[in-house]
Amino acid sequence: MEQFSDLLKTRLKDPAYDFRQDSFLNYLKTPRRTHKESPTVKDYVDFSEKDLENMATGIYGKLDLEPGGRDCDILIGNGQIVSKKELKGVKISNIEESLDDLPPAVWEKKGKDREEFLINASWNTGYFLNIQKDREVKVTIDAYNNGSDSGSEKNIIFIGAFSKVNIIESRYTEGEAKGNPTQGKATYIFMGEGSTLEYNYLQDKSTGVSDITFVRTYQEKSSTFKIFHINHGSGKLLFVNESTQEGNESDYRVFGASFSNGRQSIDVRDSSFQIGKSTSADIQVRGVVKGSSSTIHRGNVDIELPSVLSSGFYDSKILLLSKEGYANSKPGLIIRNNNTRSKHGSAISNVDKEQILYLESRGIDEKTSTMLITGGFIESIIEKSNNEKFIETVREYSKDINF
Amino acid sequence: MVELKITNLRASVEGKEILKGVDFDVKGGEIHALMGPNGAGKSTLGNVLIGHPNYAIEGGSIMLDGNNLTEKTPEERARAGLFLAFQSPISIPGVKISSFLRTAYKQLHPEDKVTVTEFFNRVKEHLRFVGLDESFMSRSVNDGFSGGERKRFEILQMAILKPKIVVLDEIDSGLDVDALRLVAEEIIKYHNSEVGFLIITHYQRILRNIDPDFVHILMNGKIVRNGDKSLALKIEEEGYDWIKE
Amino acid sequence: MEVELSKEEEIERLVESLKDSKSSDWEFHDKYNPIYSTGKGLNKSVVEEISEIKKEPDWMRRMRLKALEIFQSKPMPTWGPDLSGIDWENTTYYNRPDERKSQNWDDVPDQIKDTFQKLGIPEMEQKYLAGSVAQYESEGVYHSLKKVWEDKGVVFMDLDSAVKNHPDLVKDYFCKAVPFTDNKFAALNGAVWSGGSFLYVPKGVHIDMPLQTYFRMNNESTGQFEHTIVVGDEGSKVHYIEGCTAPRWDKDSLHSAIVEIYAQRDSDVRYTSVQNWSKSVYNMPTKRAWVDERAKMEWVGGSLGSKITMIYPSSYLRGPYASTSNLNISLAGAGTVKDTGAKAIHMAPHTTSKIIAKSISIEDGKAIYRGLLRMNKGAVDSRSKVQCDALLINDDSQSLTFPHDEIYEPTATFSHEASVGKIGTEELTYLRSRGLSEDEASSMIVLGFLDDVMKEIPMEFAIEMNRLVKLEMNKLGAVG
Repeated sequence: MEQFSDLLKTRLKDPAYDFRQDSFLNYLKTPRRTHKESPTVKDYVDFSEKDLENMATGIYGKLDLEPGGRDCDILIGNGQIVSKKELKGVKISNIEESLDDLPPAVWEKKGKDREEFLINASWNTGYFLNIQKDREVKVTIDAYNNGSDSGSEKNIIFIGAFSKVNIIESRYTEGEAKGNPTQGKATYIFMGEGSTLEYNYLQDKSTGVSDITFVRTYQEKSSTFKIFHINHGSGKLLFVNESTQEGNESDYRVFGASFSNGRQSIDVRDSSFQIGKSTSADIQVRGVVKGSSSTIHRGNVDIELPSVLSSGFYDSKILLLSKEGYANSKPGLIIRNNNTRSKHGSAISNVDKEQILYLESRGIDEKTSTMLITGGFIESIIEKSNNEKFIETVREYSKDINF
Repeated sequence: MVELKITNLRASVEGKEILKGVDFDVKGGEIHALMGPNGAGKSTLGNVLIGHPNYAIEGGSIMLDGNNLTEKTPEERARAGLFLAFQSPISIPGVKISSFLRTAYKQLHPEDKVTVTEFFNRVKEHLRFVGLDESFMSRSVNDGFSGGERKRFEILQMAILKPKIVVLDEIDSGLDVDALRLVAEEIIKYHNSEVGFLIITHYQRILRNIDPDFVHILMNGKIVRNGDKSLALKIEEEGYDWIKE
Repeated sequence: MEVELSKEEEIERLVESLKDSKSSDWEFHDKYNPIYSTGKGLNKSVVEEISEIKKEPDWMRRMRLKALEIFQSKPMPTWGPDLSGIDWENTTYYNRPDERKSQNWDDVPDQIKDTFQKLGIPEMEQKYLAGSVAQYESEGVYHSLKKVWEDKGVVFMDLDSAVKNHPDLVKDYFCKAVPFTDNKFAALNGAVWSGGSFLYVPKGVHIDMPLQTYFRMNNESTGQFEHTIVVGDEGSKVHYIEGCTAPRWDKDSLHSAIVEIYAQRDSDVRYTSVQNWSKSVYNMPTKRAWVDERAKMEWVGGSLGSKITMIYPSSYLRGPYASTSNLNISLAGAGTVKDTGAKAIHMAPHTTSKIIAKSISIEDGKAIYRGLLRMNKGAVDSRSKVQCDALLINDDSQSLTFPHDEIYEPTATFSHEASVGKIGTEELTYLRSRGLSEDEASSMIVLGFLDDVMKEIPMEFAIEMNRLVKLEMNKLGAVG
């Protein structure tokens, strides 16, 4: 981290310097999770100090991508915009070129987690996507990172008041992954009053890459945030998604699915932080575990004292399909006032034998039955998306699971 | 000639013997009713016939058209022509009825080169017959279904998948009078000389709509009486107490 | 006073210290103050004195000293409630009773009988005390064992006596399930334990009547460090009940018991504890059961009162077909933090566990569920179901739920459900429309909420629990 500290000093002229400095201090002051509450420390997705240092000191270079033939509106290579289509009411620019345009609110949101602090201190690329108010748009973003690069990105999304937006963002790697790179990104979404965002996030990076992603959303009054997140690739993965529901009557829905196979380890966290009155949060995550991989789902439904008449639900289900696999869930409920409804549930098991029997009794063999049930398990989450391309991609992942 | 032959069938659950030697035959064109008080082993019989892994066959045999099904997997039994309408059909979230039925049909009738559209039209037609909306096509198997909807869907599967031996386990429970009539009509429509029925029931409610040719009374894991429709009527009037082993 | 550093300097300093502490892996950030220092409160001579007074064998004295070392070296747990209020210095670690042990009821001093009276359970005295060890302050004072059981080889006495009379038996079990290296409070108990019960039920012996012990902590700032061992030998059956009701004191006082249960092959052991601590008590017991092949272990608990309670009874399912259930009620009144839960570790095939936890938070009370459910690889076809429900009575009542579910076995089936709610207006209105007052209706709903667990609690305790729950509710006046 000494190296990063030196690196940070060279950014004195960066308008975000203060923010970076605060973030780095926060990072230094936050102890590494000690997991004292659990005897199985080894089973957490563990990013070593070396991984984090790689990420912090890594500087993404330019990534050459061929824009032609890709079915997307915006193509991003190593955090830099390679090509973009003109979309009405949509402005997208590289973050380092937009620093002066960003409202001060962006620099007030410093995050909560250790790895997130470090990303906020170290990013060198990313995008600023600004959608004006009263628009109805659909944006397709394909983003690639060089498989061997370490580095971090900061992305900012603004959704103007009363706009209805559908984003599909796919994250891939280009080329081979060499030298255990760690790639981080923090995407902060600011949602105006009455706006609606459906964010379809899909990550399928090379298994040689460690990926750390934070999606943090701030919801104003009567906004609706719906996130579909699919985590399929990366050898080590930390995905954290949390919405701060400051606005009254804000609505937050999460539909997540993770696939782990081989020696992958995946840590998916989805939380609500409800402050406004009459807010609702509904989190549903599914996981499929194969090979000697591990998956952990966690997250809190956190309803604070002023958030009366609110509801929060968390539901995690993991299918543990292999002998060497490992599944873990740690849902939390933090309820600080009594005028609320909340519930969480989690279940871990193999494919239900009764379900297999039912399909078998209709003449379908065991293998096909298992495939159908597993596919259905994921389908029940993604079918709520309004994005066909997204749904199709995820269906392919379900089909890929070998039994 | 369709024939299900059950011979001296003995089965246990978790080490406890439930069926203690059951014998009867169901031939094509026949309707059999299997009645008995609670705990007699009626549902066990249904589960044993379809090959539920929790039920262990301790002895005897199940033959369908000369094929010995006793050691066969559930899907092999289904492919041999055996169909069980479950008492409490399980829900399978995310598995769409359309793809479920199509997959099953292809396995059971590989020779039928029906087109997708044709097949789905068939399903839609039968959905109407059993009183379910067309929108059920895009719903998941039994997911969020009421008890009655589940039963209707079981009958729909019977009509679509065209088995030779149909076992109906408490098909009348959870159905109101109108639904019961629809279901019975669908059963009668499907009934022909190439299909045998075994109706497992506690009360003879369903038997008011469908006339059984044979009635068997199961008590304590054994068939204790064989008769015709009049036996079912006597049960309705007097219950099971008069029967002593 | 600390000099204020600029951001650059602070970063510099932190990065610098980071460099120095590479080997310790960031541990320098975990600043636990050495809350405890040997001195007034607890030190080697205090421990030796306890052993001396008790005239213990040498092995026990050495164990105590070893435990003391471990206690001193272990950090305070930092993951749970704030324990900085524990006053180690002003805690008395051992209180010798003035009374001598009595063999029969008539010899029990009136003063003690009076205390039992005040517990509000005079019935108990007649019905059960004849067959129970009643504990007054830190040591057993009353002790009588029914002859029938003695003839069957049942050993039931306070642990101090058992150390003297059955040393070999005690050695086999003492600190096996709960080694004092387990946690700081277990180590503390290992060093200064006093009293508690020792119950051994031989092979095949069934005891149909529940065995009970009454604890009573009524000396200000008296630490209570009982150590209880229950052994159900192969094929035996026993139900052991522990009840504690402490009167209210103003000063903080510390309770850190150890309960070790050994449910051996084919045995059936039930452990019930109903605790009603005074509002100043820190209650930090360690309770654990080893459950062997086909054995059944049931934990039933009701926990009221105290300032901070941290308790997570654990079952280690060690043999095939072992099963456990854990039913618990906690009530967090004003100013109380109840950090309770359960652990089940499935270590063998076909094991089952069921955990039901119910909590009620009143006023600013905070009820926390913290649990661990683990299925080790090889726990083939094991099943587990965890259910936690919380009821928040007042606007500022709090509930936190932190389950930890770790599944390594693909044939295992596990599910967890938790819900948090308040007393529903519909239910209240319905009951009131039938003529019940709001208070009556609320209490009825609360008791209904607790019913799953309450029906497993022995009648006399359930009545007491009901009474206490109602009392807490009534204090509030208007509810909702």
